Amino acid sequence: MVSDKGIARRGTSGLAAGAAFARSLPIIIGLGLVAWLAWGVNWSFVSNLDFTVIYKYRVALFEGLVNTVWITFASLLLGLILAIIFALLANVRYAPLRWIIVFYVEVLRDVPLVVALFWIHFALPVVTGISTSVFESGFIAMALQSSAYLTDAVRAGVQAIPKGQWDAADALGFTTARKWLDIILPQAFRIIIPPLANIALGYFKASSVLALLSVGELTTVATRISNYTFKPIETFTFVAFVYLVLGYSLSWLTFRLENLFETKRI
Amino acid sequence: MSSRPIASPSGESSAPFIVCENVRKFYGAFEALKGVSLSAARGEVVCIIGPSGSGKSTLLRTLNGLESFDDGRIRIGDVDLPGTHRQILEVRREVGMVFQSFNLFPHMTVRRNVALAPVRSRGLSWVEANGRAERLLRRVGIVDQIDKYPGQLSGGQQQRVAIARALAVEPQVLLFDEPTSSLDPEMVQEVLQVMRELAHTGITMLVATHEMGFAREVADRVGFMDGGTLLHIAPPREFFDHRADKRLSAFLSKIL
Repeated sequence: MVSDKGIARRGTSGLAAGAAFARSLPIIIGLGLVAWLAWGVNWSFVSNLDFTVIYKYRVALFEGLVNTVWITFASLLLGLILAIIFALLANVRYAPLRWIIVFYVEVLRDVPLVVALFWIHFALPVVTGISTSVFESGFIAMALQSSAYLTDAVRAGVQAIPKGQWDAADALGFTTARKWLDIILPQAFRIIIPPLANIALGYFKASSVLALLSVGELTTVATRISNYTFKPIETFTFVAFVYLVLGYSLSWLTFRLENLFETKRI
Repeated sequence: MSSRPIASPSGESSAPFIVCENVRKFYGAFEALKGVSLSAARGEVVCIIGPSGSGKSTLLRTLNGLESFDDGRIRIGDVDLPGTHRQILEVRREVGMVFQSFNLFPHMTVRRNVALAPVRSRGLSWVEANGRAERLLRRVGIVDQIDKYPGQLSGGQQQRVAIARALAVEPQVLLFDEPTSSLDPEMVQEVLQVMRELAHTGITMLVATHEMGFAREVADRVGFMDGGTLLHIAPPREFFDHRADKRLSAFLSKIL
């Protein structure tokens, strides 16, 4: 990425003055747009902002945040375990098993999370006789759906491993289980870190739709506070900021993890 | 009733460790092995030469069950391939393999590359296996690189690690699938030197190679494969000097 920017910079530095003007044109237009928008905003609302509401409901917000992080982490962990199992089964020679997995992945990928959530919460109890709490329904919906995306990611990671690695593991007399645990999955995991992080970030944000069932995560809490206090700007500005900070931390963590493996591998 | 020959090649007294009889292998309609028969006694070094695509690799890969075969018989020790899954695992522990492209595990240190298989398939403890890895790596001359990752080593060094890794499970046989073909010229000799020393230890070796000098000097027998057939096999002096087969002499005159 860094080298791309370097090339772009070197490329433009040699260009003539006309190109320099052409380059600054978007900046001028952008500034104009910002000024026009700022003109149109009713700035008087700023003086009425009251962020003490955040402090007042800090405990509830913190609990909501914990629920968001917990449901994202737990459902993705279960999703990943399911995905690894499905990716392994997709390698089995028995064809009907592969069809079932393809069908499962396709169905769960094409149904929106909200629909899956409502179906699990309202239809599943009727079908199975087991009723789940809203939190459990949200957890199951996210775990199942993420498992579909993760199955594809894991399968792609496994396929990216060169045939020579399978040969070497076989030639050394490893059992199938050992081959997967020692050789294939550790290498596949490194390959799938970037897609894995994307999926994790996606579900961290998507957990907010669980608020439609009042699951009790951050967005649910924010909605309640905003409805009760009539302070949606303060509440949702703060909540947006919290999502931003956590989402950015996740990206940063991924970047560090990738770097760690990269330096070890050379 | 004639008297029994004392040491015929197929006699009980010198039962060969590896026996192939009329092995045939198809990839779809393409016949990769057209009835190959080959045997190797314990401690014997057999080099197989021949143009690329002649079936050398395929033949070696059928011997440890990496490739299936469609007809004929392969017997390793007292196991007839293809055996049960358990038997194949046993055969693979007796028959190590060194690949053209090394195939070291890139996510593990050199030490772990060598120590892993003894722990997983021979039941050694990590302490024992690490000790064995250190001894083997000293033997192939790269003990000073033991804590590096494969990506940090040269091709020749990687191939020597791969040889140590194959030796770590103490196999009876080592299969070499063109071990020097992807190496830079200056690294070929360091790998051949390790193989030369190995040949004197009494391990059985089957080597697919283009290194004629090595074959002439080290092999007990040299075989020539072309078009999926083992056309000629003989001790090196006879093999290189008499050139019994027309295709063999054409091949030799092309590369010598």
